[in-house]
Amino acid sequence: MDVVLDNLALFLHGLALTLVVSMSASLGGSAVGLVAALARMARAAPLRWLATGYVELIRNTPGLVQLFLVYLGLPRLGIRFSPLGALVTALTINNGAYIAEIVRGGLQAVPRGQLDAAASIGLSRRFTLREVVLPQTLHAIHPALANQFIQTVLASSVGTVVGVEELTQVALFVESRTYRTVEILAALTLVYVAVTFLLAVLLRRLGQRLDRGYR
Amino acid sequence: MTEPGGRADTVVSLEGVTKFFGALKVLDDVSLAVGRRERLVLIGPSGSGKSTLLRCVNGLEEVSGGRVVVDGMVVGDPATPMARVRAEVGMVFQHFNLFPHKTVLENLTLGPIRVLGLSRVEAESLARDLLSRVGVPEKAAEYPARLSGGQQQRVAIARALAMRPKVMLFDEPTSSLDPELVGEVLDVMRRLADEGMTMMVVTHEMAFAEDVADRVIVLDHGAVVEEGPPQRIFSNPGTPRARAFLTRLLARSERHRRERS
Amino acid sequence: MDWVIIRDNAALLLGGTVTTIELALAAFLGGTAIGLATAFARLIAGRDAELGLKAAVDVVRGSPLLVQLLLVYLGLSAIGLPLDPVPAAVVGLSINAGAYLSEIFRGGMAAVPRGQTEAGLAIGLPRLYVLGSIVLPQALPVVVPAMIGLFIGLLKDTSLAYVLGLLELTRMGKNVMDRTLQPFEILIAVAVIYFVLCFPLSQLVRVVDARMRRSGLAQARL
Repeated sequence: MDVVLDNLALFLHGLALTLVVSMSASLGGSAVGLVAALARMARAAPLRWLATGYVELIRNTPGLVQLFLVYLGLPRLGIRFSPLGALVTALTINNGAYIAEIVRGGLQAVPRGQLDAAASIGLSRRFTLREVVLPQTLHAIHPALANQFIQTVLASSVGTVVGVEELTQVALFVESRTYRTVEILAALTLVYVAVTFLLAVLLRRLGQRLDRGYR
Repeated sequence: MTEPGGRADTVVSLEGVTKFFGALKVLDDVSLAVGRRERLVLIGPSGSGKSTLLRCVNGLEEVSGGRVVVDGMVVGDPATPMARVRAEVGMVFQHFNLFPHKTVLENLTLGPIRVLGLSRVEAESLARDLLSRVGVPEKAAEYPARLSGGQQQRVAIARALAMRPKVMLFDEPTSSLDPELVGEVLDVMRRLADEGMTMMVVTHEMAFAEDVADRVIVLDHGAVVEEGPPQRIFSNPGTPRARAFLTRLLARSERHRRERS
Repeated sequence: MDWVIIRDNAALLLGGTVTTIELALAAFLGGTAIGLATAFARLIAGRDAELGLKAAVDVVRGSPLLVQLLLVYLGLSAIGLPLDPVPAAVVGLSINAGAYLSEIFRGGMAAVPRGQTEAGLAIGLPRLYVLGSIVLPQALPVVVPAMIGLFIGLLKDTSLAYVLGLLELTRMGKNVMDRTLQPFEILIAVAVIYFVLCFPLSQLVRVVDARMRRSGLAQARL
């Protein structure tokens, strides 16, 4: 464990980058996912197909391949990313598809009676979506969103393959210098476990705060 | 657009209304008129189209044939925005349908602020007044989940009243309530009727119908089979099917009433 | 865009695909064995074992698969028990799948009403038998769709064996594109192959799920 402490600054940097990457990808992914979920309910069929195609393509291919496509494939089309940019972009796109499914499930869980009540008061469709449907959707899906965030933190480790200096890459770097393989990898595992555990507790508390009175 | 030649005191009028769900005919050439201050009760076996009829009045369902006229406006007419029609029609649902993520007060003020253009101060004052009228003024800051079923339904009635409608529709308002909570809701409805609100009520509560209704309409398979004052309908129904239905209904209603007392 | 390059390297890509499928199947079998054993052990064994197993499951589920694969491959080799990439990948993937499967089994069995277990025990049947023959079968409508879902995940997760140098589909694709300098076309081909493997299975999940809900076999409250 002293090997970790000796290189504490490096590890903290790696952890910070992991968290920053995960948060960016989660926020970006939430925006993308929300748009995609709404697009899947659109009246225009091409919009629905586009959104569904996006979701199914992402969910049925590995994240590593998606990362390679962004980092190595897109330059062929003239779009170049730094390793970090590629990681965040790929994770955002990946997240978006899974969040789209989560949001879709939540939207369908809102009882039909809510729409009836809002309509009978005379509220417009757009207002009803914003003020009646989406808040209730959020109440239904926030546990799944929390889980998705934690999965993103774990998934960010693929960044090591393209050289992003997130937590796993830092650990491997230290390992290559010190050859204390088992210690470092075991410590790395435990750091992830501790981080995801703390995040789970924090997010659960936030969720309870959100649900106060609601249930 | 005002209906030319319509009676000035007819609030709701259904003219030859037919409704299909796919191949299923749910409403069959229904015609009826509801006058100002009139209390109409609709009864009939399940599947007879009572709820669908109500939902056609405020446009939650679109009619397949015929037309519905509310306060001179033709429902579904492109010239008349649905929001204007719905502002005149208040609806109370079997499952209350309060917005669970908003407080009781917010449930009531949402419509008046957003659709009627009241200021927040005016809307809240109106809301508190209505909550007093339905008997739950102390619950204003609570979320619906903390209220009993009867309290929730009374709030739902207040929410519909907050839009100052010309007619109130009740779709089996007490069917989801525990027996001991039914009375408090019926009391509110009774008081509303006494104050002169025009009402269309779908219910199985026969005592209420007998006390409050000016007219009872019996629906079966989407068609009006009986129409008249409650005293006559309940004591002397015309068709055998209506008679059989009413006998069962009266027995059940009597049982419920005994459970509540 | 040079799409012919895909046809020229089709044999290699297909070889990688076969490896991917074999890896996924092996890990699925290994993971099912581990998952069942863990789930049963947690329900039957004493408190200490339960806590220990729960901790183990939580550690595996709370850390990245990539790190676990490296730990198995590099770690075992560092302590003098070197494994080739393929067995190392199978072990790592099996343990990871096993942790998630144990939760699937546990959750499915927990959804079966307690009365079933109690009735079985009241007749005098041994605990393990009750779990295996009475509870688990009734948990199937919940468990089977989840297991198929997990297998789909495994097909995708095998791509992480890339870091062990193993010639599964992703690594094979990388080799080809490094050689032919056509990353975009090859990656598209690789993505399409994964999609062709996974998408039908994901549709199968929906069908199986609906079929099993209707079957009435489910006493489990879903």
